Amino acid sequence: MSERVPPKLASWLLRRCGSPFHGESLEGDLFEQYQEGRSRAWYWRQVTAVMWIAGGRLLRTLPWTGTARVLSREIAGGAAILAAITVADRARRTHSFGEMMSPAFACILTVLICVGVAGLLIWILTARRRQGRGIGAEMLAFGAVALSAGALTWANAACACQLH
Amino acid sequence: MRKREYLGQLELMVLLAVIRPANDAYGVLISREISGKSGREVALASVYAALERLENKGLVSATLGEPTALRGGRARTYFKPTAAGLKEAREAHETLLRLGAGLSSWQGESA
Repeated sequence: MSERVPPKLASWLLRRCGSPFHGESLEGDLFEQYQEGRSRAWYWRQVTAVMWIAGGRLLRTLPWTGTARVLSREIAGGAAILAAITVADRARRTHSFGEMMSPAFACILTVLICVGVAGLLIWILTARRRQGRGIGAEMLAFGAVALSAGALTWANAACACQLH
Repeated sequence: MRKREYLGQLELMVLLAVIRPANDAYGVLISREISGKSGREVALASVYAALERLENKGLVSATLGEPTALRGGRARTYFKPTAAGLKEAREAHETLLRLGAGLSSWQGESA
């Protein structure tokens, strides 16, 4: 009896994805059943299932949580620093709070704060319990700079009111 | 009550299919056994994934056989239950029987 050759592409995909399942045993099982008269469609279905399961396993093993945590922290930190610099720069250039809070500036600040808060929330939510949920140095720096900028702006606005 | 990890439905079916007197269970046989008894075809990849989980739980052990021409020179991996696997299968089976006792009173009634 001549040997039936399974679909080449499917076999190649199987070798690429099926290795976690007891090496060649799964491939051998599929080959054995294919020789017993299973169709090409059946073979493809089995290989698709292997790829699906192997893909799911790969996704689960990827350090998504860690990556998301680091990314969100960096994004939050970046947004916080940018917001602080923007506020400080704007406060230096303007003479009153009303002048400082132009619609465009308020919009930019709102976006930066939203991005920062979203990043901070993701960072906190993805934190592992045993590592605690402390506030990072970047967040503390942001808080200090934002508060200082706010205080300076208000003081500046108050001075301007007294002069007028 | 002791803390234990329950087996999934497929894991339990695979574990029960692995329990064979000849200890000759391998992927194709296990898949056929499940399909024959349940009437549902199970992908071999799902069977192997379940076997791997069972192995990790220490409920089955695997042995590599000899490569054969029938399989294009690839070896079979034979699976057999461990003592813990047999105990787990018995307990799960008994639990299911006890829980399913109420089913008899529903026979003949339409849902």
